Amino acid sequence: MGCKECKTSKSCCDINLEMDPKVLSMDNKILLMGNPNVGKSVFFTVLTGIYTMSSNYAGTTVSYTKGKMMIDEKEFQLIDVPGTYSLNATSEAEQVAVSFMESGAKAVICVLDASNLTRNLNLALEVKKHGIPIVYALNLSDIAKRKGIEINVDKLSELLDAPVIPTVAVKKEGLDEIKKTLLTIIDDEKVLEVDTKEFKRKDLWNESYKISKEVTTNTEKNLKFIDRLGENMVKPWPGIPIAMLIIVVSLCIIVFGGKFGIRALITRPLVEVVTTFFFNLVTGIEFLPKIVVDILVGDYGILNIGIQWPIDFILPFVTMFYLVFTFLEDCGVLPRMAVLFDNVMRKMGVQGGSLISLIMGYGCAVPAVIGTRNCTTRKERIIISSMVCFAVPCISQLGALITLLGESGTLSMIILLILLFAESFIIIFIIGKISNKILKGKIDPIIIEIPNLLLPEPKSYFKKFLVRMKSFLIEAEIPMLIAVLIISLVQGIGLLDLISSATSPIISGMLGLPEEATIGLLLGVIRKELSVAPLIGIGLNPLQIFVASTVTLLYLPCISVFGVLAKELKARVAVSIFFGTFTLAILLGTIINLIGSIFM
Amino acid sequence: MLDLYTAEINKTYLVNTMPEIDLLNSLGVFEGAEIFKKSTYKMGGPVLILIDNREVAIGKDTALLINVEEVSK
Repeated sequence: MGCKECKTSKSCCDINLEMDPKVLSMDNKILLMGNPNVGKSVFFTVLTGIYTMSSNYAGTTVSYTKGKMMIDEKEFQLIDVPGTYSLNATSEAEQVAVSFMESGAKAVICVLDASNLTRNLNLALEVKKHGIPIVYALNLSDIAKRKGIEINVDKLSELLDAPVIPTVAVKKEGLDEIKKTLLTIIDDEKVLEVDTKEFKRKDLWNESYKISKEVTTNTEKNLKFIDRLGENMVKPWPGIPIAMLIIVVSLCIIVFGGKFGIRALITRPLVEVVTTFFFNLVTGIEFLPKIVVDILVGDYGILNIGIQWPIDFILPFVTMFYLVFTFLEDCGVLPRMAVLFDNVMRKMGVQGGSLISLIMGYGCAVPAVIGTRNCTTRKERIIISSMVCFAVPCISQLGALITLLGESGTLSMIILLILLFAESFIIIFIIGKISNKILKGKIDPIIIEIPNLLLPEPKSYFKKFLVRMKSFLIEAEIPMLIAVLIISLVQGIGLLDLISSATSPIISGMLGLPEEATIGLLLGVIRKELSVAPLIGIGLNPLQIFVASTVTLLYLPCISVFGVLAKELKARVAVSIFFGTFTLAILLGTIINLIGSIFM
Repeated sequence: MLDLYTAEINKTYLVNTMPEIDLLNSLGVFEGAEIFKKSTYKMGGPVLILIDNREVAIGKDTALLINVEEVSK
């Protein structure tokens, strides 16, 4: 089964959406468990060599991942279990964790956050009741030290009756020790008892507090700048102005860094050299049939669609977006924004925590829809997924839109971009309101723990960035080539003229767009940026640019998103979103064209 | 009875009664727990509390259902 975030790496494709009985019955399993956001995914990456996405907020891993781990030539299957606060089996993630615990395992690596020991001990004590050999990894020891927290590791090990190893997973510190200890506890013949007695959570908390108090010493330390900033960023003042500043600066970096940085300096000159070379080469071969020349270097040929569109139009903005987004995701800004804007999100009928899924949608709607698994009700999942599909442009599409808007000049681009974002926010708001009225069920209020504010560790930051870029290039190229084939076929058999004249009343009559828009709308089903790219460089006026941007912004979700919607939220929801987006795109595009025509 | 939402900020409270919400329990908010209220966000926003050295935000509707009493220090 494929990884929905990163379809490129075969290792990454071990992410699982459903419990597999074969995995449950494996007898060489080692479970990687712990609270959310304690660094389990980093452990998994280091111990197996398989990259999995990790972020600085709870709930990045919403399903389990398995991978081979070798210790002294012995093979084990390491399972990255979703982070849970308890084993109550009240959420999907907890159900997965409970199923694994009950299926038995060779051992458990229970990752503890040294800077939040009490809360982590709560789960640690619950895991211990299952009678499986455990090694505790006392992770984030560096952050605990920074905060003036000292932990007596030997005492903790004695009280938990199991080995405790201090670790800093992002720096690979302590992981060899974990591996050695795993072998020792697995080979140990000591019989561990399963504690089946009913317990009250309050008692577990009291025990956690007691242990934590015994092993922890808090030394007075002056808070570092980053800790003070973290505290201030969650206060309405100065948190809200800082959050607004971050949003504006991020957008400026993506738009201007992409347009005047990467595109002007790198991709445009590079693409010009490559396309000129190949154009001259192909057109110089006289015996090539016209159809082959068209497929290779025609307006909708491989050279144009396969190289110029993704590399020149889209890649610059995708690069800047992932540089910015990966940074924001890893430093812990997003949960702070979720708290600050909870009141605004409540007005839309959802809660602040959903803001993270919504922001993820600006990267790609697929992980955003899957990420809604963190929502506590189905109603909230559908509302957030609808908001993302209706009016949140993915970065590939946004890149193409920025290129299209940029054709009208820099000032005009800024105005049109602001208008487009305003339009997008209004639609998101209306979709939220309407869905909230129509759908039955409730939305639970926000409950979120604020993570530490961190500077991302450079190596993991760039690894994550590179995986996303590789994923974009592979995911973009295959559909682009499919698009070349479809267009060649449609053009070759004369179907394009037929479709163009059939859709002309809508495309030209209602939307006031040229016939190239027909190709865009046909291809937009494969990937959303393909709905925009055919309109670049054909001399649209500002009104046509804005109508085209609106229609393509709202237009159908791409085929991958449709598949995920159907799988995650049932086909009925996917079909409703499909027809809803199409109708709204045409309707709003027509209204803007009609009103705009009066003034232009 | 004092609820967490309307309780004054910068004070320590003891949780008397609260709705049965697993996530809250798991985060350390349970009947008998001591919490410090840091802030209330305007226009229906959440409240921010401190448990140990952890900050937890709780939505308005839930905070209204958590009954607390001030701990005199």
